Amino acid sequence: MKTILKLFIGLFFVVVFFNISMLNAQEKSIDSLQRLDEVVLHVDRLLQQFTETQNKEVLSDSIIAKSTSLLTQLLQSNSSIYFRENGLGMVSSASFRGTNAQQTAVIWNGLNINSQLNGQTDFNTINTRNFNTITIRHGGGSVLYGSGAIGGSIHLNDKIAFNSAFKNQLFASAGSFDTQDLSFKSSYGNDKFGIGFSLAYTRSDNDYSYEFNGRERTNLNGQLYNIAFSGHLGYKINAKHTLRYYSYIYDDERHLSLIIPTEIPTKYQNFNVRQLLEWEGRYGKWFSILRGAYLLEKYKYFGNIESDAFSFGEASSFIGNYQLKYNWSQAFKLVGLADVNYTLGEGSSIGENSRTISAFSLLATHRIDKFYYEAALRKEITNTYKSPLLFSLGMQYKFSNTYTLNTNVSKNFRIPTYNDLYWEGSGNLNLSPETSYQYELGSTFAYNNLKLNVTGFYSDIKDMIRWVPSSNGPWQPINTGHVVTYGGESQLAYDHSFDRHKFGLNMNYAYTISKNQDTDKQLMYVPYHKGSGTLIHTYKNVNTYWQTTYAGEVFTQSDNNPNRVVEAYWVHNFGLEYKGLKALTLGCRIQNLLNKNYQSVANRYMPGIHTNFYLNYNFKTHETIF
Amino acid sequence: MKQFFKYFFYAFALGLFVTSCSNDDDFTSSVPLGDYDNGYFILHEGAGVITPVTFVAEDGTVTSNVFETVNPDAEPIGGYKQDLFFDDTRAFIVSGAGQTVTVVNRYTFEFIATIATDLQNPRYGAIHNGKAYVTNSGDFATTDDDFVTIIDLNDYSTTTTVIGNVVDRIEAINGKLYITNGSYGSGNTLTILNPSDISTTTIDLGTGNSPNSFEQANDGFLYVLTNNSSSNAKIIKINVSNESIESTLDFPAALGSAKHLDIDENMAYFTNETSVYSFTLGSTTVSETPILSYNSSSQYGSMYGFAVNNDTIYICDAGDFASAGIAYEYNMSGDVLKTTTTDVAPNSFHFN
Repeated sequence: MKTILKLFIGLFFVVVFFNISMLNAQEKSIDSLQRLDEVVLHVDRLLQQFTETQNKEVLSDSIIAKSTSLLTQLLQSNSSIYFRENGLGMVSSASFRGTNAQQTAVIWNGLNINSQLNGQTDFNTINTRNFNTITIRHGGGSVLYGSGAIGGSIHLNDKIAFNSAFKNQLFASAGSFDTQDLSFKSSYGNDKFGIGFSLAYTRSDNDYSYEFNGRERTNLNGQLYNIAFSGHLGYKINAKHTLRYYSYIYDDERHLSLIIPTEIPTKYQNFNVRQLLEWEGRYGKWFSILRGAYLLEKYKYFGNIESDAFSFGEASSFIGNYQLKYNWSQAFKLVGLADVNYTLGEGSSIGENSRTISAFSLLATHRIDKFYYEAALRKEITNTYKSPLLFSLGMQYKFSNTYTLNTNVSKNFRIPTYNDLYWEGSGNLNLSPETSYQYELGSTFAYNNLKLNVTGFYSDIKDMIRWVPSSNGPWQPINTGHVVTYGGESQLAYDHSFDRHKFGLNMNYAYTISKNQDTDKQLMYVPYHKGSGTLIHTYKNVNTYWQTTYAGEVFTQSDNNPNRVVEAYWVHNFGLEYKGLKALTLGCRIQNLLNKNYQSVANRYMPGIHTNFYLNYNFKTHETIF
Repeated sequence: MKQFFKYFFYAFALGLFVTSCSNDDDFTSSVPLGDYDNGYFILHEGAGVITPVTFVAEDGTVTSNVFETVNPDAEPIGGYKQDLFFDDTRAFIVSGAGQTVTVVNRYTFEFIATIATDLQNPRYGAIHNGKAYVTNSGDFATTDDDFVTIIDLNDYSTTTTVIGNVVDRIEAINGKLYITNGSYGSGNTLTILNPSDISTTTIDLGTGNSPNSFEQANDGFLYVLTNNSSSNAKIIKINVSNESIESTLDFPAALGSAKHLDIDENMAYFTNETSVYSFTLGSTTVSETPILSYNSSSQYGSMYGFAVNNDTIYICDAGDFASAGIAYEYNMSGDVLKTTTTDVAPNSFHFN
């Protein structure tokens, strides 16, 4: 292990010196730079370059602004992913293509940010206002993004823009349950620098009422706040070299709501820091990116809010990553990737433990007329578990401009977490990663303003890590579960304009079977049906929109007892926006329009009809600032 | 560290060693006093607000959802239903997560009251002289605050007394309250609470002898089953008149995870993994040959509850704690008499 680390450090310095020497060589030959068009670069390059054969849905700024700031709500109403949410704003986990909470990866600017401690992301601990785009990527992606990218992945991306106007956006929203949602974004770019930041704050008393067994109840102890800062800086050293820096700091506190008023009130705090620095170099057909990153996650759980006593967990990760791309031709590209990830973690029940994971990947994309393929291999090396060789092969054939056929086969994994490995008295150091073979076949029809995608998927997930009691008492995680998920998903997008009317329609639907192979039963909290849709109508200065979410019945018992279910729900939001001045939009959104009393987890009710008012003020100037 | 484990188990909605075997020995056929007279209740531990009890009548009729059916408008009972105990007319249901004791009519199951004061992570209860005594873990982070809630059954008013040592099971014996100070194999004393002046004394069971379950036999002695991973399981016989240890009976090493002591007439019954064993009170050895063994598909919820009553052995199996459980009745030859499908996580039998 030590040798690999040394090799890695060695390699790192070789790359640095290589870059520096190239830098000096280039310095003398800088051409006078011309005024360029706005250049936007996403740091998550693999998403743009190696995800041609899988579905991607990009949620833009304007879609993000039409939803509340909690990532759960945005995705619940704009995708076929199902969320288990312990009441509004509370702990929330995703089930993507029938998988569990640890099998959806969340990617921040190209880095996997699922917790090192429990392997998942709580989708109510991400404030959407900080990000320019949020992309949903369907299907396996462990070769590109590592652990947990089994059902799919969610990508949170900042953008750095050079030669860009001085842009500012103020968003302010206030609504029911004393909820405030504020954010400010600012960015500017000249030909040398691209700079920007955003600040987002959300808080709510969250004391909505609901009906429980025929009684009117108030959501008790559900108050929450979060505050997040995100900043970025790009610097073009010269025509060939660019430095980029991304930063993110997040802090929150959520009280966890009560089922029964007499329960002990508890609360949970998170603190996250993410820093990423990258150095990009372009040398003819070669393209090189060196990245260094630091990720910190920290939580505190207060088992009784009256007491100062808490349990905690924290993990720091240092990541070094080098990508070297060779553009053989416009049609054929090769990428080699080396990655080292050192994590140090501890907690109330986890002794201090570190682990180092190195990974090497090789990727290729090739377009031959109407045929395209992308292929990738990844192998991780670590002393903590045995790591399988991962692969992905995607192929595409474009029959015509209207019809494209995609297929993708991949092997993906979810590695054991800190809790799995190191929990005092229970952790199991002999765990293997969960692995999944995934197959999918998708068709895309595009005709004028209509785009329809239909994909069938099949995933065989083995060695699932489950906690079961050991013979000597304490619960221990072992590789035991075997689940097969399969089904179909579809997305429809349609635009239509006439006179001064503009219509936009987006719909998602997924049918999912997710079966425990030992019992032949559908997994708990995985609905057969999940759908969502948005219809936007614009006339002159007025936008109206309707959002709808349908989640089918889910079993709350593993024996699929038909009497123990969370019933299907179908909820609607309606919004109205008025663009009064050029830069100012005023909006109002009514959520759960039909006042449906529904729950997403048994006994965890969601709010009935409620309202938000918001203003969105965008102002920009093309004047040169510096 | 033990306390963190304790919390951890709760967080998983489960408790491997948390079992119950309380029973009332006044099981007789008579004119029924209500729909739920002459039979037994199965208590479901449950993680959330799920149906707390199933009733099995003497004629074998099974009624699910008893509480909800009788009381559709009552406040639901919270999670971790730990114990159900009776006085002459009432039944008391303890919810650990809800931090309540729900009072219902013992025979009709009609809702009477919810007690929610002076309770923090309550566990088990017992009745003595018009009062209920309920053990509480208090803050899971420490055992120093573990206490007993004393409920006046006339007006359901409450007071507390701190025991300051881990508290678990409780029984009214010889005019006093006996409390086991054992949890997950740690703690090795009994606390005796004198209700007249709320004073306490303790009996030291000896290192490694952590009390798991206990019962007073017809001979007047209190029998305590102890176990600990570092020493053999034992039966410790307590003389309740002078509150001292009378004798100790060592179990064979093979029966290291003995649990669920239940005494029926002059026979003592207990379980080890998925087998049931017995010995006659007064024996000096314990046989390793079980009366019966049952197959459980559950790796972790097997033998989750156990009782013996009128020569019938009752076993419940909690499965995966996320689906229906099973309750069995066996005769002394090990033949299955009845199999009942219960709700999630059945943990104990209570005879009415």
